[in-house]
Amino acid sequence: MDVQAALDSIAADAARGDIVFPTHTDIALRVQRLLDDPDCSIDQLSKLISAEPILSARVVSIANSVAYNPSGRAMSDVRSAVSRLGFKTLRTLATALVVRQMQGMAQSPEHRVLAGRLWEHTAHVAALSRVIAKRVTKQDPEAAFFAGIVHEVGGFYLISRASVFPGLLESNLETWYGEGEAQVGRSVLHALGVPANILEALETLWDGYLAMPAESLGDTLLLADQLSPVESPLTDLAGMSRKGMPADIDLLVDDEMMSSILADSAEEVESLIAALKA
Amino acid sequence: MDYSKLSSQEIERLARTIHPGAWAIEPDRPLATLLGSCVAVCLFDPQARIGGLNHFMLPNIRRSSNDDVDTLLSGSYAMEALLNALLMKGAKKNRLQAKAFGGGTIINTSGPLMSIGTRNADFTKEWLQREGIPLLASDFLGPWSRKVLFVPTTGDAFCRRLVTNMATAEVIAREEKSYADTLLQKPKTTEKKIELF
Repeated sequence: MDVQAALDSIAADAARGDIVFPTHTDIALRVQRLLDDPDCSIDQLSKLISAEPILSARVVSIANSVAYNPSGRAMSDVRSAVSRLGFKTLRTLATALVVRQMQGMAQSPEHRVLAGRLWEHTAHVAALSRVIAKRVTKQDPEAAFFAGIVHEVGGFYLISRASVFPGLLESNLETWYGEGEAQVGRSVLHALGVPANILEALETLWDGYLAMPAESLGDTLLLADQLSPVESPLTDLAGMSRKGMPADIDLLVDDEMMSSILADSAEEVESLIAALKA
Repeated sequence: MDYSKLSSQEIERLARTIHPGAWAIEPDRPLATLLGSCVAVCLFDPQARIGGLNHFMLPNIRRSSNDDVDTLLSGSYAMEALLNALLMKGAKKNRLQAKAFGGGTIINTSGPLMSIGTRNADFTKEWLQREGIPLLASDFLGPWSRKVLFVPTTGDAFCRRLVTNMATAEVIAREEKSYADTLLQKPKTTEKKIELF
């Protein structure tokens, strides 16, 4: 099979902008649009979110996670959860729902398994990005969380189109990393209306050069991607997986090593992963 | 030139490549190196704004009863050569900071070869600790080859993990083997004698 021709064709389809998201993500997309409205009120938002059970559950669950609720005061209604999280986080959660539903675009059971693993990787990277931003790189944690949620949209799109090219996801996808992933990713992110600072972070991820020590939002995302214990299934196909070998990446952050900071933040990371995967 | 305004791709395009066994200090131009199981250490004095990079490995084949000492001397030579050159240029040892990369396992193998990268990484961390030079950032081990960029005027370093396909692995392995062979042929001595207690 001509892998490059297949990847070029998928990139060209994505670039034409005819990306159709699953119909049940409609409310999540409407939430995103409402968040863009400067007159958007908490009541309007709460009402719209309440109409989508998965998004409602996710919003309440995240609002009760250790990351957003260190005092442990639980809440059970959408309106209170919306007030606690703020609009930035809501945008991330609405996008997370759309990205998660992209799993359903996969056409075969095998491809849905791959998409499921990709979502698990996504949840780990998003959670790690938020903690690294807060504790290591001092970037906006919510922007980092959002970047983590959308960082594999190109991969989800690739899996959703793979059935048109039999054998593609059994081939060597070395050329996917770098330009292939970037071409498709840019188009899908454009369709999702992702802000410029997030796009810039994604460009750093696709470029692959990690500034050491990590500083920018892009470095935050790339570092989270490299530290994630759950790798993207696409790294296997591209020859970039760890192959079970240990890797030892570390930074000095204000006289403390990043590895020890992240060990201290394990509960926070786990709470976010659990809420995203629920 | 203000390299902080350039993308890593542009820095890579302008960089001078450092091959296995070599080291360099540049007043302005960025340095780049491609690593397999070797290690590259960037040393930088933030006050004097002087920096350099080396690319080395420890010899692997046991050749005498003194092999542990020889191994240490060889690794120390690579580090001391860069350190001494930086001191000659005006850097102060107590201000130096380090960033280090490499020690990957790029050829599918098991057994003693697996540990070459680990030995190189461990030696680097131990040497820096012994010399009291803080290691600000590192990326060691794993199955990847790595491209490292270093801007000597700012101390900025960038590391990219690379897919090690058959062709890349062969090129890197050939270069590193050729360097490893030279280590076995002519043991190095340092200008600054190392005292062993």
